[in-house]
Amino acid sequence: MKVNIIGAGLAGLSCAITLSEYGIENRLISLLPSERAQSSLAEGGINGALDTMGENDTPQDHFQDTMKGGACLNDPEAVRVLTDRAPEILSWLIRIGVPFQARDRQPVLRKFGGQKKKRTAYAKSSTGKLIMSAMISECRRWECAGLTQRFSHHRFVRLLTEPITDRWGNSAVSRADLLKSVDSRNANIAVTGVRILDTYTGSMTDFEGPVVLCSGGMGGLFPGQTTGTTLNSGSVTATVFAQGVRLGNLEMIQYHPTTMKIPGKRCLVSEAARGEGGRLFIMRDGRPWYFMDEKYPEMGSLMPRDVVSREEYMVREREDTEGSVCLDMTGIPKKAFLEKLSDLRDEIMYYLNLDPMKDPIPVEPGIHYFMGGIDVDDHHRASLKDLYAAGECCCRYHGANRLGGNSMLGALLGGRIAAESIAAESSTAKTSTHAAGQRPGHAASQAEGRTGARRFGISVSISDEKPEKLVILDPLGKKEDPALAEQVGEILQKGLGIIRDQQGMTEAEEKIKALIQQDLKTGPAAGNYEIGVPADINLCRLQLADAIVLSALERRESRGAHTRSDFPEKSDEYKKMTIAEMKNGKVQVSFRPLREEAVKG
Amino acid sequence: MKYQIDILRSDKTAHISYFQTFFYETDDPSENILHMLQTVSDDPAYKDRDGNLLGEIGFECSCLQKRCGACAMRINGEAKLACGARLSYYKKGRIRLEPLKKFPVVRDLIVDRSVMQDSLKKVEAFRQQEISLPKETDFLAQEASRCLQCGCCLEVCPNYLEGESFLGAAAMVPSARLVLEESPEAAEKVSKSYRKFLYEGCGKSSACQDVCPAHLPLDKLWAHANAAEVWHRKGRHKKAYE
Ligand SMILES: Cc1cc2nc3c(=O)[nH]c(=O)nc-3n(C[C@H](O)[C@H](O)[C@H](O)COP(=O)(O)OP(=O)(O)OC[C@H]3O[C@@H](n4cnc5c(N)ncnc54)[C@H](O)[C@@H]3O)c2cc1C
Ligand code: SF4
Ligand code: SF4
Ligand code: FES
Repeated sequence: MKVNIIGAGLAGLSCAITLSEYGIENRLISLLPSERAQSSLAEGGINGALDTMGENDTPQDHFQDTMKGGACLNDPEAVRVLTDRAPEILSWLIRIGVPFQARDRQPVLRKFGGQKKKRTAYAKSSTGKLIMSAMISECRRWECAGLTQRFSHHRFVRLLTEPITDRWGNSAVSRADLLKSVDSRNANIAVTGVRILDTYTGSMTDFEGPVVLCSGGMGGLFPGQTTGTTLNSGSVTATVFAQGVRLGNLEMIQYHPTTMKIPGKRCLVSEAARGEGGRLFIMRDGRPWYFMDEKYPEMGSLMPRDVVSREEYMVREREDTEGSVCLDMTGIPKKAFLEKLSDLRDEIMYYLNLDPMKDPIPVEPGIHYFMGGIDVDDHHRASLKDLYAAGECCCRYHGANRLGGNSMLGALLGGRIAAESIAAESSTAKTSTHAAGQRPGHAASQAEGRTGARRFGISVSISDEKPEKLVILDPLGKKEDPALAEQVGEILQKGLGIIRDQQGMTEAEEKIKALIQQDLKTGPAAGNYEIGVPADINLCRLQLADAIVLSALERRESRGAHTRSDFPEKSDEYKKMTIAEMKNGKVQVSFRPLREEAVKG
Repeated sequence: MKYQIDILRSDKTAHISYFQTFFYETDDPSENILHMLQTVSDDPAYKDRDGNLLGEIGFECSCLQKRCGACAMRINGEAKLACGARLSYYKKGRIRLEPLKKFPVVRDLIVDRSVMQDSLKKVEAFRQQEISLPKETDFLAQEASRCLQCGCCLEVCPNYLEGESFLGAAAMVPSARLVLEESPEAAEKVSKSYRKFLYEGCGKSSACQDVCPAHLPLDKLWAHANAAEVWHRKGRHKKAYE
């Protein structure tokens, strides 16, 4: 058995490394090499209650801040695991060589939004890049040992699925039932592999084996409007959604309060700027008004992102204010600036031609993170058998609003848990070298690597796989239409801004429905549309867009990143997860209650 | 302002390559070459100077903000990141775009840089031993971790040629870090390959440092690593890890 991992950012790398530690062969498939993944852009840091700053920080504090930041829409069991295992993940990162900011051999921690204590390990404001470099190097060990095989420049086309058969080998359900079951009881479908396209040659290949989706957020649904990369088009999520995979909390889209417009995208001004002392103001009566400090004296500009973005929106709407919201970093001591924020300063000087050590800089909220995505259980299993998801493409830890520094943590942990679950279900997995506290030594060539691995108790099973199947033509191999993507992005942005209401969202829904009808008539799937067997990537993307708007419409309250002017209060009735599924070719949204809080102490 | 763009287009499967010329107008001083390429490539009606449709142009991109290394290409003969190259910098209004020359061309401006991953595997650029944090922040290690694997350094290096034994600066950066940080026993292996594939082939001309879009302090990194490796001198750096 070889495991197919889609995406080579933090989640994908974490999964590949952990699988290899268990001796399980894996393929690391991504559009471009790891260096280009969105994870490399992460700036401010990663959270874990290491308590190196003498504040008596504990995983319990981390738990509470995360639940509160997520407006208690998070699954408490998930957050418990996240915050309990965070110190283990950070220590591992240090051991594999991430050069965090350090003092006396301990990582220095900084404060991030929504945190009561200093808990964020960092390396200037290039933390993601530095973690990625160490992970890429760690993964290379396993590439040299022949356990991880990279497929860079490959695009995900579709999951390969088959009905789950009974013990006599008969299909458990008839074909007609099957089509229905994709919609209603998709537990009858097993993922048998994945189809990928080599973007250099145009040829497609089918690979057998379980699939772990680590394909990142859905930024591509909002072209040009997010802080992320062009790689995360949202097409993987859209395709698997059309194939029957269940998604959750799609309406929870994080606007980061401090971004700047640059050609083709929004550029993030890291939360570290506020963590180190930057404050937000707007001009009122000819004087700067530090509105966050006034309203939230305890945390000021470092409130969770949903709160800050909303406040920015509201102060700008007022009649007595003028100009844009500005970030004032002039009070940060020079030494701290140069040591901890020099890269951020360079970036601001390049793009705005302003020196943040001397001048306040104009900022605006911009789309930054997707709390919702593929619905997974405690083992990071998605709703089809042998399908897993981890990282930003899945919905697991962050509730209605993600705290800064928790997402790299969630991606690393998710990838690891998915691999651990696969190992637990696999008969060939050996005790992990990682769990046993051992690491394989020198791994020169493939052959040597294998003996090397064996010496440390891993035996590498070289699977007798059937040869790869080359696929001639699959209509899903086509790329999405950029003009349509642009159009959908505008509709979504308009309907799903920082403050939403019934009317705006209904308009967006109608427009998307009309585009779906048009595509059904004229698109590649026109005439022979088969439920559960997508043939048109544009249609899949429109259905995903529809699901996002419908989820937002159904949630008749304000919570976390989802603020409605027509339902301004949080309501206990909606303390549950929105679930989106394709049923009979249509998007359906329902709710699932959260598990009872298992709060220790 | 109106810019004249000459772009080398090629299609490996059709065995053709030719320069195509088109015009692009913008008054935005921050407009960059990558965004210009995105704009014209996404517009199905965009025409070249002779009235032919441009069609989709092959180029790689991801971050659009000089942080991922995807969009490296030759701009008026210089290896650069297209998203970090503003049109307004080219005052004469003529811009020539070509793929990097030291790598096999896939299509238009896309080149296959997998040799860079292969080189790092060849020198086994991974840690033999776990480490702990040094006494103080290791700024040199932070800098070395910022390498984008973009390939600009290989493009300008007088000593690098694909297939020959010298593997170039892009492979030297991660290896230098290992040479500096691993304990003597653990460093044995990487030391050998550092010498053989990197140190011995490098003419120390610093062309790589001048071109590096991430502004890595390559000279400094080589100096420290060579001191540790070749003259077995324990730099201040290495001591921090003991
Ligand atoms: C500017 C910025 C700053 C951030 N700062 C922080 C921070 O300080 N702290 C923090 O915790 N989080 C931060 N985040 C969020 C965090 O970086 C991401 O949520 C996290 O890195 C996601 O990791 P991932 O592995 O899930 O996905 P990614 O790193 O996005 O990787 C996705 C992978 O999927 C591949 N892929 C996508 N589509 C396809 C396809 N169709 N076919 C094949 N492969 C595909 C891509 O090539 C890529 O390899 C930041 C995000 C941004 C944008
Ligand atoms: S050293 Fe500089 S030029 Fe060379 S690959 Fe790294 S970032 Fe690019
Ligand atoms: S110093 Fe000169 S020879 Fe050495 S890697 Fe750099 S460009 Fe090449
Ligand atoms: S697109 Fe990332 S460096 Fe240019």
